[in-house]
Amino acid sequence: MGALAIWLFRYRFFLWLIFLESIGAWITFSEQAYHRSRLNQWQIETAGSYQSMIHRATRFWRMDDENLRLNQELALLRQLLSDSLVIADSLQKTQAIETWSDTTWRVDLIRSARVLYAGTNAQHNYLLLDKGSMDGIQPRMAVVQGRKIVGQVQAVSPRFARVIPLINTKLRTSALHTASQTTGSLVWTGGPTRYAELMDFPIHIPIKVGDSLVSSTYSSVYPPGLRLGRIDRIETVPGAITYKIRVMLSVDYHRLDHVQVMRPMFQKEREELLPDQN
Amino acid sequence: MNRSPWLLLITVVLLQGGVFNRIHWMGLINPMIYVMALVWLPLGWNLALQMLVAFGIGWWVDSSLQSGAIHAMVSTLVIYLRSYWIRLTVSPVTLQDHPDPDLRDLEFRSLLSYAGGLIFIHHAALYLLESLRMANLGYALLKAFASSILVFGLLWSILQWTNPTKSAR
Repeated sequence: MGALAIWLFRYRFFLWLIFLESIGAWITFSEQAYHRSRLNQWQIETAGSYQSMIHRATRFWRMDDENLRLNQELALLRQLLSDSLVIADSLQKTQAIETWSDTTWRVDLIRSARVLYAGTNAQHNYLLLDKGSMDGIQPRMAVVQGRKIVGQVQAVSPRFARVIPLINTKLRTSALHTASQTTGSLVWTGGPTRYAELMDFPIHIPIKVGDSLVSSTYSSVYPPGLRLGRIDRIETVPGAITYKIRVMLSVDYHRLDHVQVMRPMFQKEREELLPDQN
Repeated sequence: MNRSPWLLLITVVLLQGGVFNRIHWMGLINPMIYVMALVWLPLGWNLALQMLVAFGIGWWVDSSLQSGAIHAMVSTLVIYLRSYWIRLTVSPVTLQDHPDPDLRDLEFRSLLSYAGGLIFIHHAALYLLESLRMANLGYALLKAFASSILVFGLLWSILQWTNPTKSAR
Protein backbone atom coordinates (compact mmCIF):
# COMPACT_ATOMS: atom_id res chain seq x y z
CA MET A 1 0.00 0.00 0.00
CA GLY A 2 2.87 2.30 0.91
CA ALA A 3 4.63 1.45 -2.35
CA LEU A 4 1.47 2.24 -4.30
CA ALA A 5 1.15 5.60 -2.56
CA ILE A 6 4.78 6.40 -3.38
CA TRP A 7 4.26 5.36 -6.99
CA LEU A 8 1.10 7.47 -7.26
CA PHE A 9 2.83 10.47 -5.74
CA ARG A 10 5.85 10.07 -7.99
CA TYR A 11 3.76 9.93 -11.15
CA ARG A 12 1.04 12.32 -9.98
CA PHE A 13 1.65 14.87 -12.74
CA PHE A 14 1.70 12.22 -15.42
CA LEU A 15 -1.55 10.76 -14.07
CA TRP A 16 -3.02 14.27 -14.01
CA LEU A 17 -1.96 14.68 -17.63
CA ILE A 18 -3.63 11.39 -18.56
CA PHE A 19 -6.78 12.48 -16.73
CA LEU A 20 -6.98 15.84 -18.51
CA GLU A 21 -6.15 14.29 -21.89
CA SER A 22 -8.88 11.70 -21.36
CA ILE A 23 -11.42 14.42 -20.68
CA GLY A 24 -10.23 16.25 -23.80
CA ALA A 25 -10.44 13.09 -25.89
CA TRP A 26 -13.92 12.32 -24.57
CA ILE A 27 -15.15 15.81 -25.43
CA THR A 28 -13.54 15.72 -28.85
CA PHE A 29 -14.81 12.29 -29.83
CA SER A 30 -18.31 12.98 -28.58
CA GLU A 31 -18.60 16.39 -30.27
CA GLN A 32 -16.69 15.97 -33.52
CA ALA A 33 -18.29 13.73 -36.12
CA TYR A 34 -15.06 13.51 -38.11
CA HIS A 35 -13.00 12.35 -35.12
CA ARG A 36 -15.70 9.89 -34.11
CA SER A 37 -15.69 8.35 -37.56
CA ARG A 38 -11.88 8.12 -37.58
CA LEU A 39 -12.00 6.43 -34.18
CA ASN A 40 -14.61 4.03 -35.47
CA GLN A 41 -12.47 3.17 -38.47
CA TRP A 42 -9.44 2.73 -36.28
CA GLN A 43 -11.38 0.37 -34.00
CA ILE A 44 -12.47 -1.72 -36.97
CA GLU A 45 -8.93 -1.79 -38.36
CA THR A 46 -7.41 -2.78 -35.03
CA ALA A 47 -10.00 -5.42 -34.28
CA GLY A 48 -9.63 -6.70 -37.85
CA SER A 49 -5.86 -6.97 -37.66
CA TYR A 50 -6.04 -8.71 -34.30
CA GLN A 51 -8.71 -11.17 -35.39
CA SER A 52 -6.87 -11.77 -38.66
CA MET A 53 -3.79 -12.74 -36.67
CA ILE A 54 -5.80 -15.07 -34.42
CA HIS A 55 -7.53 -16.55 -37.43
CA ARG A 56 -4.25 -17.27 -39.21
CA ALA A 57 -2.96 -18.96 -36.08
CA THR A 58 -6.02 -21.18 -35.59
CA ARG A 59 -6.85 -21.86 -39.25
CA PHE A 60 -4.60 -24.88 -39.44
CA TRP A 61 -6.51 -26.76 -36.73
CA ARG A 62 -9.86 -25.98 -38.29
CA MET A 63 -8.90 -27.26 -41.73
CA ASP A 64 -10.72 -30.62 -41.50
CA ASP A 65 -14.04 -29.06 -40.58
CA GLU A 66 -13.54 -26.41 -43.21
CA ASN A 67 -12.83 -28.94 -45.97
CA LEU A 68 -15.95 -30.82 -45.03
CA ARG A 69 -18.04 -27.67 -45.16
CA LEU A 70 -16.55 -26.60 -48.48
CA ASN A 71 -17.27 -30.02 -49.97
CA GLN A 72 -20.86 -29.80 -48.83
CA GLU A 73 -21.18 -26.34 -50.28
CA LEU A 74 -19.65 -27.49 -53.56
CA ALA A 75 -22.12 -30.30 -53.72
CA LEU A 76 -24.99 -27.94 -53.06
CA LEU A 77 -23.81 -25.54 -55.76
CA ARG A 78 -23.55 -28.36 -58.27
CA GLN A 79 -27.04 -29.42 -57.38
CA LEU A 80 -28.35 -25.89 -57.85
CA LEU A 81 -26.58 -25.61 -61.19
CA SER A 82 -28.05 -28.83 -62.48
CA ASP A 83 -31.48 -27.82 -61.20
CA SER A 84 -31.33 -24.58 -63.12
CA LEU A 85 -30.37 -26.32 -66.36
CA VAL A 86 -33.36 -28.62 -66.50
CA ILE A 87 -36.96 -27.51 -66.77
CA ALA A 88 -38.32 -27.12 -63.27
CA ASP A 89 -40.89 -29.74 -62.51
CA SER A 90 -42.08 -28.52 -59.16
CA LEU A 91 -43.64 -25.28 -58.08
CA GLN A 92 -40.96 -24.69 -55.45
CA LYS A 93 -38.12 -24.93 -57.99
CA THR A 94 -39.92 -22.67 -60.43
CA GLN A 95 -40.37 -20.07 -57.75
CA ALA A 96 -36.72 -20.20 -56.82
CA ILE A 97 -35.55 -19.66 -60.37
CA GLU A 98 -38.04 -16.89 -61.02
CA THR A 99 -37.01 -15.07 -57.89
CA TRP A 100 -33.43 -14.85 -59.06
CA SER A 101 -34.24 -14.03 -62.62
CA ASP A 102 -36.35 -11.05 -61.60
CA THR A 103 -34.50 -7.99 -62.92
CA THR A 104 -35.28 -5.94 -59.83
CA TRP A 105 -33.56 -8.45 -57.61
CA ARG A 106 -30.40 -9.18 -59.51
CA VAL A 107 -27.34 -8.49 -57.46
CA ASP A 108 -24.69 -6.23 -58.90
CA LEU A 109 -21.87 -7.14 -56.55
CA ILE A 110 -20.93 -10.34 -54.79
CA ARG A 111 -17.76 -10.72 -52.77
CA SER A 112 -16.62 -13.70 -50.80
CA ALA A 113 -15.24 -12.80 -47.38
CA ARG A 114 -13.82 -14.58 -44.41
CA VAL A 115 -15.32 -14.08 -40.97
CA LEU A 116 -12.55 -12.92 -38.68
CA TYR A 117 -14.68 -12.54 -35.61
CA ALA A 118 -18.19 -13.58 -34.69
CA GLY A 119 -19.48 -12.25 -31.39
CA THR A 120 -22.29 -14.35 -29.92
CA ASN A 121 -22.27 -13.52 -26.23
CA ALA A 122 -23.69 -10.01 -26.15
CA GLN A 123 -27.01 -8.35 -26.91
CA HIS A 124 -25.43 -6.27 -29.67
CA ASN A 125 -23.35 -8.90 -31.40
CA TYR A 126 -21.36 -8.16 -34.50
CA LEU A 127 -19.16 -9.93 -37.02
CA LEU A 128 -15.95 -8.75 -38.58
CA LEU A 129 -15.08 -9.56 -42.19
CA ASP A 130 -11.70 -9.41 -43.89
CA LYS A 131 -12.99 -7.34 -46.83
CA GLY A 132 -13.67 -3.61 -46.74
CA SER A 133 -14.29 -0.58 -48.90
CA MET A 134 -11.22 -1.41 -51.01
CA ASP A 135 -13.12 -4.50 -52.21
CA GLY A 136 -16.31 -2.57 -52.89
CA ILE A 137 -18.03 -3.44 -49.63
CA GLN A 138 -20.37 -0.72 -48.39
CA PRO A 139 -22.78 -0.31 -45.48
CA ARG A 140 -26.22 -1.91 -45.93
CA MET A 141 -25.01 -4.72 -48.14
CA ALA A 142 -26.44 -8.16 -47.47
CA VAL A 143 -24.23 -10.82 -45.92
CA VAL A 144 -25.24 -14.38 -46.72
CA GLN A 145 -23.90 -17.90 -46.44
CA GLY A 146 -25.06 -19.70 -49.53
CA ARG A 147 -28.79 -18.97 -49.52
CA LYS A 148 -28.95 -18.25 -45.81
CA ILE A 149 -29.07 -14.71 -44.44
CA VAL A 150 -26.30 -13.85 -41.97
CA GLY A 151 -26.87 -10.12 -41.51
CA GLN A 152 -26.05 -6.79 -43.07
CA VAL A 153 -22.95 -4.62 -43.28
CA GLN A 154 -23.01 -1.82 -40.73
CA ALA A 155 -19.67 -0.02 -41.21
CA VAL A 156 -16.53 -0.43 -43.27
CA SER A 157 -12.90 0.54 -43.16
CA PRO A 158 -10.58 0.13 -46.17
CA ARG A 159 -9.75 -3.49 -45.31
CA PHE A 160 -12.47 -4.68 -42.94
CA ALA A 161 -16.23 -4.61 -42.53
CA ARG A 162 -18.42 -4.79 -39.46
CA VAL A 163 -21.64 -6.73 -39.84
CA ILE A 164 -24.81 -6.70 -37.73
CA PRO A 165 -25.95 -10.31 -37.66
CA LEU A 166 -29.54 -11.47 -37.16
CA ILE A 167 -28.52 -12.20 -33.57
CA ASN A 168 -28.33 -8.52 -32.67
CA THR A 169 -31.23 -7.10 -30.70
CA LYS A 170 -31.08 -3.88 -32.73
CA LEU A 171 -31.84 -5.63 -36.01
CA ARG A 172 -35.40 -6.20 -37.22
CA THR A 173 -35.77 -8.13 -40.46
CA SER A 174 -38.83 -8.54 -42.61
CA ALA A 175 -39.64 -12.27 -42.91
CA LEU A 176 -42.00 -13.93 -45.35
CA HIS A 177 -43.91 -17.03 -44.28
CA THR A 178 -43.77 -18.92 -47.57
CA ALA A 179 -46.82 -21.11 -46.99
CA SER A 180 -49.21 -18.21 -46.45
CA GLN A 181 -47.21 -15.43 -48.17
CA THR A 182 -47.62 -13.34 -45.01
CA THR A 183 -44.89 -11.18 -43.57
CA GLY A 184 -43.76 -10.63 -40.01
CA SER A 185 -40.72 -9.19 -38.29
CA LEU A 186 -37.86 -11.43 -37.26
CA VAL A 187 -36.21 -10.18 -34.07
CA TRP A 188 -33.58 -11.70 -31.86
CA THR A 189 -34.35 -10.96 -28.23
CA GLY A 190 -31.17 -12.32 -26.69
CA GLY A 191 -30.57 -15.81 -25.33
CA PRO A 192 -29.58 -18.81 -27.50
CA THR A 193 -28.10 -17.80 -30.84
CA ARG A 194 -30.00 -20.44 -32.81
CA TYR A 195 -33.41 -18.97 -32.00
CA ALA A 196 -35.17 -15.71 -32.80
CA GLU A 197 -38.77 -14.57 -32.60
CA LEU A 198 -41.26 -13.81 -35.35
CA MET A 199 -43.27 -10.80 -34.28
CA ASP A 200 -46.47 -9.20 -35.57
CA PHE A 201 -47.73 -12.41 -37.21
CA PRO A 202 -51.57 -12.31 -37.17
CA ILE A 203 -53.32 -15.12 -35.35
CA HIS A 204 -55.88 -15.80 -38.10
CA ILE A 205 -53.18 -17.05 -40.51
CA PRO A 206 -52.69 -20.83 -40.40
CA ILE A 207 -49.14 -21.69 -39.48
CA LYS A 208 -47.33 -24.84 -38.35
CA VAL A 209 -44.01 -25.94 -36.92
CA GLY A 210 -41.41 -26.54 -39.64
CA ASP A 211 -42.73 -23.82 -41.99
CA SER A 212 -39.94 -21.88 -43.57
CA LEU A 213 -39.30 -18.15 -43.42
CA VAL A 214 -37.48 -16.30 -46.14
CA SER A 215 -36.56 -12.70 -46.86
CA SER A 216 -39.44 -10.71 -48.29
CA THR A 217 -39.60 -8.15 -51.06
CA TYR A 218 -40.11 -5.49 -48.39
CA SER A 219 -36.40 -5.48 -47.64
CA SER A 220 -34.09 -3.38 -49.77
CA VAL A 221 -31.02 -5.04 -48.27
CA TYR A 222 -31.71 -8.71 -48.96
CA PRO A 223 -32.81 -10.28 -52.21
CA PRO A 224 -36.15 -12.02 -51.61
CA GLY A 225 -36.30 -15.74 -51.09
CA LEU A 226 -33.17 -16.13 -48.96
CA ARG A 227 -33.60 -18.40 -45.97
CA LEU A 228 -33.99 -16.93 -42.52
CA GLY A 229 -35.09 -19.97 -40.55
CA ARG A 230 -37.86 -22.42 -39.71
CA ILE A 231 -40.69 -22.14 -37.25
CA ASP A 232 -39.73 -24.10 -34.19
CA ARG A 233 -42.47 -23.40 -31.65
CA ILE A 234 -45.85 -21.67 -31.79
CA GLU A 235 -47.67 -20.28 -28.78
CA THR A 236 -50.91 -18.40 -28.56
CA VAL A 237 -51.42 -15.87 -25.84
CA PRO A 238 -55.04 -15.48 -24.66
CA GLY A 239 -56.43 -12.18 -25.84
CA ALA A 240 -53.48 -11.43 -28.14
CA ILE A 241 -53.98 -10.83 -31.86
CA THR A 242 -50.58 -12.18 -32.83
CA TYR A 243 -48.78 -15.48 -32.26
CA LYS A 244 -45.70 -15.91 -30.13
CA ILE A 245 -43.45 -17.76 -32.52
CA ARG A 246 -39.95 -19.09 -31.97
CA VAL A 247 -37.83 -19.47 -35.09
CA MET A 248 -34.79 -21.66 -35.52
CA LEU A 249 -32.33 -19.59 -37.53
CA SER A 250 -30.76 -21.10 -40.63
CA VAL A 251 -27.29 -19.84 -39.80
CA ASP A 252 -25.23 -21.32 -37.01
CA TYR A 253 -23.16 -18.34 -35.88
CA HIS A 254 -20.77 -20.57 -34.00
CA ARG A 255 -19.70 -22.22 -37.24
CA LEU A 256 -19.37 -19.24 -39.56
CA ASP A 257 -16.19 -19.11 -41.57
CA HIS A 258 -16.84 -17.84 -45.08
CA VAL A 259 -19.70 -15.63 -46.23
CA GLN A 260 -20.73 -13.78 -49.34
CA VAL A 261 -21.48 -10.08 -49.38
CA MET A 262 -23.93 -8.86 -51.97
CA ARG A 263 -25.84 -5.78 -53.00
CA PRO A 264 -29.18 -6.02 -54.80
CA MET A 265 -29.34 -4.06 -58.02
CA PHE A 266 -30.98 -0.63 -57.78
CA GLN A 267 -30.69 -0.68 -53.97
CA LYS A 268 -29.72 2.97 -53.81
CA GLU A 269 -32.52 4.06 -56.11
CA ARG A 270 -35.01 2.15 -53.98
CA GLU A 271 -33.70 3.45 -50.68
CA GLU A 272 -33.86 7.02 -51.89
CA LEU A 273 -37.60 6.63 -52.16
CA LEU A 274 -38.04 4.57 -48.99
CA PRO A 275 -35.09 5.54 -46.80
CA ASP A 276 -36.33 3.82 -43.64
CA GLN A 277 -36.76 0.40 -45.17
CA ASN A 278 -34.71 -2.44 -43.71
CA MET B 1 9.72 35.78 -10.78
CA ASN B 2 8.10 39.16 -11.17
CA ARG B 3 6.29 38.72 -14.43
CA SER B 4 2.52 38.37 -14.44
CA PRO B 5 1.16 36.21 -17.23
CA TRP B 6 -2.46 37.29 -16.94
CA LEU B 7 -2.34 40.38 -19.16
CA LEU B 8 -0.57 38.54 -21.94
CA LEU B 9 -2.81 35.53 -21.44
CA ILE B 10 -6.05 37.49 -21.75
CA THR B 11 -4.72 39.54 -24.67
CA VAL B 12 -3.53 36.60 -26.75
CA VAL B 13 -6.60 34.50 -26.03
CA LEU B 14 -8.87 37.35 -27.13
CA LEU B 15 -6.71 38.04 -30.18
CA GLN B 16 -6.71 34.36 -31.03
CA GLY B 17 -10.49 34.15 -30.93
CA GLY B 18 -11.08 37.48 -32.67
CA VAL B 19 -8.35 37.67 -35.27
CA PHE B 20 -5.93 34.79 -35.62
CA ASN B 21 -8.51 32.02 -35.90
CA ARG B 22 -9.59 33.59 -39.17
CA ILE B 23 -6.12 33.57 -40.67
CA HIS B 24 -5.47 30.72 -43.12
CA TRP B 25 -2.77 32.00 -45.45
CA MET B 26 -2.26 29.70 -48.40
CA GLY B 27 -3.74 26.85 -46.38
CA LEU B 28 -0.43 26.66 -44.54
CA ILE B 29 -0.28 29.41 -41.98
CA ASN B 30 -2.88 29.28 -39.22
CA PRO B 31 -1.00 30.73 -36.23
CA MET B 32 -2.03 29.78 -32.72
CA ILE B 33 -0.66 32.74 -30.80
CA TYR B 34 -2.20 31.65 -27.50
CA VAL B 35 0.72 29.23 -27.21
CA MET B 36 2.81 32.29 -26.29
CA ALA B 37 0.84 32.54 -23.06
CA LEU B 38 1.59 28.88 -22.34
CA VAL B 39 5.30 29.42 -22.86
CA TRP B 40 5.10 32.55 -20.72
CA LEU B 41 3.40 30.81 -17.75
CA PRO B 42 5.74 30.87 -14.72
CA LEU B 43 7.54 27.58 -14.18
CA GLY B 44 7.37 28.24 -10.44
CA TRP B 45 3.68 27.44 -10.36
CA ASN B 46 2.56 23.97 -9.39
CA LEU B 47 2.64 21.82 -12.52
CA ALA B 48 -0.86 20.49 -11.89
CA LEU B 49 -2.17 24.07 -11.76
CA GLN B 50 -0.23 24.99 -14.90
CA MET B 51 -1.78 22.04 -16.73
CA LEU B 52 -5.24 23.00 -15.53
CA VAL B 53 -4.76 26.60 -16.70
CA ALA B 54 -3.45 25.32 -20.05
CA PHE B 55 -6.45 23.04 -20.41
CA GLY B 56 -8.74 25.99 -19.69
CA ILE B 57 -7.01 28.23 -22.23
CA GLY B 58 -7.13 25.53 -24.86
CA TRP B 59 -10.76 24.81 -24.19
CA TRP B 60 -11.60 28.49 -24.51
CA VAL B 61 -10.03 28.49 -27.95
CA ASP B 62 -11.80 25.23 -28.77
CA SER B 63 -15.14 26.73 -27.89
CA SER B 64 -14.58 29.61 -30.30
CA LEU B 65 -13.44 27.24 -33.05
CA GLN B 66 -15.95 24.47 -32.23
CA SER B 67 -13.15 21.93 -32.36
CA GLY B 68 -14.05 19.66 -29.45
CA ALA B 69 -11.15 19.84 -27.02
CA ILE B 70 -8.20 19.45 -29.39
CA HIS B 71 -6.53 22.68 -28.31
CA ALA B 72 -7.11 21.82 -24.65
CA MET B 73 -5.40 18.45 -25.10
CA VAL B 74 -2.44 19.87 -26.97
CA SER B 75 -1.98 22.79 -24.56
CA THR B 76 -1.95 20.44 -21.57
CA LEU B 77 0.60 18.23 -23.29
CA VAL B 78 2.84 21.20 -24.10
CA ILE B 79 2.78 22.42 -20.50
CA TYR B 80 3.61 18.94 -19.24
CA LEU B 81 6.53 18.61 -21.66
CA ARG B 82 7.75 22.13 -20.93
CA SER B 83 9.26 21.21 -17.55
CA TYR B 84 11.43 18.58 -19.28
CA TRP B 85 12.00 20.53 -22.46
CA ILE B 86 13.57 23.48 -20.63
CA ARG B 87 16.26 21.22 -19.17
CA LEU B 88 17.18 20.09 -22.67
CA THR B 89 17.25 23.49 -24.28
CA VAL B 90 18.42 26.03 -21.69
CA SER B 91 21.93 25.84 -20.31
CA PRO B 92 22.27 24.33 -16.80
CA VAL B 93 24.18 27.43 -15.66
CA THR B 94 21.24 29.68 -16.49
CA LEU B 95 18.81 27.31 -14.82
CA GLN B 96 21.00 27.16 -11.70
CA ASP B 97 20.95 30.96 -11.39
CA HIS B 98 17.31 31.32 -12.48
CA PRO B 99 15.27 28.12 -12.04
CA ASP B 100 12.32 29.99 -13.54
CA PRO B 101 14.01 32.15 -16.19
CA ASP B 102 12.26 35.09 -17.77
CA LEU B 103 12.09 34.65 -21.53
CA ARG B 104 13.59 38.14 -21.92
CA ASP B 105 16.74 37.01 -20.13
CA LEU B 106 17.39 34.05 -22.42
CA GLU B 107 19.93 34.17 -25.23
CA PHE B 108 18.44 34.00 -28.70
CA ARG B 109 19.69 30.46 -29.24
CA SER B 110 18.13 29.19 -26.02
CA LEU B 111 14.96 31.12 -26.72
CA LEU B 112 14.72 29.65 -30.20
CA SER B 113 15.22 26.08 -29.05
CA TYR B 114 13.05 26.42 -25.92
CA ALA B 115 10.15 28.63 -26.98
CA GLY B 116 10.45 27.87 -30.70
CA GLY B 117 10.59 24.14 -29.97
CA LEU B 118 7.51 24.27 -27.76
CA ILE B 119 5.61 26.34 -30.30
CA PHE B 120 6.48 23.84 -33.02
CA ILE B 121 5.53 20.85 -30.84
CA HIS B 122 2.22 22.53 -30.09
CA HIS B 123 1.40 23.23 -33.72
CA ALA B 124 2.57 19.84 -34.96
CA ALA B 125 0.56 17.96 -32.32
CA LEU B 126 -2.44 20.15 -33.02
CA TYR B 127 -2.48 19.61 -36.78
CA LEU B 128 -1.86 15.88 -36.39
CA LEU B 129 -4.68 15.57 -33.90
CA GLU B 130 -6.87 17.63 -36.17
CA SER B 131 -6.40 15.33 -39.17
CA LEU B 132 -5.89 12.07 -37.22
CA ARG B 133 -4.12 10.58 -40.22
CA MET B 134 -0.49 9.55 -40.29
CA ALA B 135 -0.65 9.97 -44.07
CA ASN B 136 -0.94 13.72 -43.46
CA LEU B 137 2.20 13.83 -41.30
CA GLY B 138 4.30 15.67 -43.89
CA TYR B 139 1.66 18.30 -44.54
CA ALA B 140 0.98 18.72 -40.81
CA LEU B 141 4.68 19.26 -40.09
CA LEU B 142 5.01 21.74 -42.94
CA LYS B 143 1.97 23.65 -41.71
CA ALA B 144 3.28 23.54 -38.14
CA PHE B 145 6.67 24.81 -39.27
CA ALA B 146 5.21 27.72 -41.24
CA SER B 147 2.85 28.76 -38.43
CA SER B 148 5.54 28.32 -35.77
CA ILE B 149 7.86 30.72 -37.56
CA LEU B 150 5.19 33.39 -37.49
CA VAL B 151 4.28 32.83 -33.82
CA PHE B 152 7.91 32.72 -32.75
CA GLY B 153 8.59 35.92 -34.68
CA LEU B 154 5.70 37.58 -32.91
CA LEU B 155 6.89 36.35 -29.52
CA TRP B 156 10.42 37.56 -30.20
CA SER B 157 9.10 40.98 -31.24
CA ILE B 158 7.07 41.26 -28.03
CA LEU B 159 10.11 40.29 -25.96
CA GLN B 160 12.24 42.90 -27.72
CA TRP B 161 9.59 45.53 -27.24
CA THR B 162 9.05 44.79 -23.53
CA ASN B 163 12.73 44.27 -22.62
CA PRO B 164 13.79 47.44 -20.75
CA THR B 165 17.53 46.75 -20.96
CA LYS B 166 17.55 46.19 -24.70
CA SER B 167 15.22 49.11 -25.33
CA ALA B 168 17.54 51.39 -23.40
CA ARG B 169 20.52 50.46 -25.57
